[in-house]
Amino acid sequence: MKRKWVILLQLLTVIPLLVILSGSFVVAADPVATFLTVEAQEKTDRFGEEYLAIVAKLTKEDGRAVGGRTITFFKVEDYFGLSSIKIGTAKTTAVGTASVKYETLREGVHQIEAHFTGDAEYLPAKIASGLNITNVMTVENGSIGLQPIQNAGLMLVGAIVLVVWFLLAFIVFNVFFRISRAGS
Amino acid sequence: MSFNETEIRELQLTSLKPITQRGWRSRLLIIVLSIFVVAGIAAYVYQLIRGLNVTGLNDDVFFGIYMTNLVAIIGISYGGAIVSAILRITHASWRAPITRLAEALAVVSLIVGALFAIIHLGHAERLWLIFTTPNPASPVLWDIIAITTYLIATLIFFYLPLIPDLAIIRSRFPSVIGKWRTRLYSMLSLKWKGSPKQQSILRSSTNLMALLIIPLAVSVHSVLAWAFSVSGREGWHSSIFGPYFVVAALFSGVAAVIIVVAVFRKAYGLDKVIGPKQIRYLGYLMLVLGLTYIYFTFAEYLTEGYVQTEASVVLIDSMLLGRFAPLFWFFMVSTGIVPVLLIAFPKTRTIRWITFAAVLVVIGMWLKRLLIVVPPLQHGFFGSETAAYTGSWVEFTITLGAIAAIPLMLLVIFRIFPVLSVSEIEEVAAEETERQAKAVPQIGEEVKA
Repeated sequence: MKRKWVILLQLLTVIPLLVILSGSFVVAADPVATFLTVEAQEKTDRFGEEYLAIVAKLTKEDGRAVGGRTITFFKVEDYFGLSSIKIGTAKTTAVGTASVKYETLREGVHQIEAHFTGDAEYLPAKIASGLNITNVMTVENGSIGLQPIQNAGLMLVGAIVLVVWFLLAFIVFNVFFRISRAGS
Repeated sequence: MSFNETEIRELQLTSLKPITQRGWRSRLLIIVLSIFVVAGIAAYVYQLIRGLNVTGLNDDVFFGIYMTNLVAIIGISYGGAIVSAILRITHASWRAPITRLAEALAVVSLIVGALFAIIHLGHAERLWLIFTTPNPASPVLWDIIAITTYLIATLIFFYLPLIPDLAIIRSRFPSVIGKWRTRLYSMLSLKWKGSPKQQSILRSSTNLMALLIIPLAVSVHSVLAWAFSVSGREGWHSSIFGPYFVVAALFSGVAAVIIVVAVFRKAYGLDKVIGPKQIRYLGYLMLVLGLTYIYFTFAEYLTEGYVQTEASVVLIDSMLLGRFAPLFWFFMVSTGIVPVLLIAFPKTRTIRWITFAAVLVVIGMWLKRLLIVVPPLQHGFFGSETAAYTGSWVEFTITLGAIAAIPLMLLVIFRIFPVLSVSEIEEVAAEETERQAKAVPQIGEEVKA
């Protein structure tokens, strides 16, 4: 009888202790490694306009998606030496993808980087990739038949600038030559 | 009122006070300002080596503090133009003692402001492409032409009234100004003897310059405004942007003139020549311009806010209630409410309070330019959020250096040239005497009802 009570007491103390310890083991688990991929995609916004997006995907080692994490996008450009310029930030969706709009006028290979800084659960990840951008946006002034007016306007402005420069030159001449001459 | 010979001599000596009074305070001020300027130059060299990624600029927000400085500091130069040119054309006699200070401020602030057109370029060495491959359809080309022309005009406008002063001071006070200034004054005074012919040439040239500089100043700020408004971006695409920018420039420019005049008056004891009248009248001018600017702001936001397109709602919301609300409401209080109250009540219509109001106006108007430049870029064409912008230490250091460069250059200029336009003071006094003589009916003259 006494032995039964001892076993029961042991169960009541050991089991909760094991539960607590197992919980602390879960909290203290090492952060999981993550991996990033990046690609350029053509997307359509809610107004039906097409745009170019840089899409990154954050996954675990087993390929499962990591959602709700912030990805920062950079492009590497050569401004007196290579440097990373921030494009923007976006959070990963449930399928692990985060995308930012990418506006460029230059076709060719763009060096793009995506960074995930990591947190308590996941280790940081980084990817740098050369993306071949082909379908770039173009900027053109709309032609609505106002070209003759535009040309005449530019010529008029140019003529006004010339008149102003002539007047300035006249004043300088007036002052430097006529005042000096009148004083000598 | 006209001056006798002793009074004119006294005025000329007063105009040389920044040259003759060299206390430890002004030296210390020059050293402190120079440190800021050197720090600014060092930060720019760092930016030149590392590229624009050392700034807070990004693909979306490609204009930031640099563009704000460009608009705000060039705007300040406008104050010089209005005080000197418009008041000259309208024969406002109270202008005479402050014109030299105003004109110098116009030159200095224009030089510093225009530098930001270069500073905000990633590849500054590519600037020459504007001249070798100009695009006449681009507002940037016209911006450069307008600013360069305006700079030449302000330099000429600063120089013309100097000619008689330099000639007289050179011959009267060679021991006061020293050898190198005597040589410089001789060269710049162009054999001035004050003959009627010389006076006539100088007067006609100055008047023509005064007439020319007003449309030039208007064009500079209009072109600067159109560089934004022709873009089609929400918050920029506005038909009132031309006059809106011009009034803003006049408003902040007059405020800056008040600060410069008040500081130089106090520092060099110019209170016998520059009285409370000058500051008060400039205060009235600032008040009228301020109310006009607030009216423009109201008109702009009312029409944008009433239509409520998707993008305008986001933009106005961020300005009135969102991220930019503290800046916007500070601008409203510092430019629209405080100056009005301070100038409205006779008790606070003093030099000290008007100068305080002017300082608030300059700060408030800088913030307003930041609100014009940055928030529209932080929202896409359809109101979506894009990358946020926060200025970096490089941008702030360059800005502080540029702000310090303005008083530093003024101090240097007035260590070389007289601070008062004595010839203009004399000219105005003579005109006043003539006008009074005409107004008083002579004996035997019939008085008309």
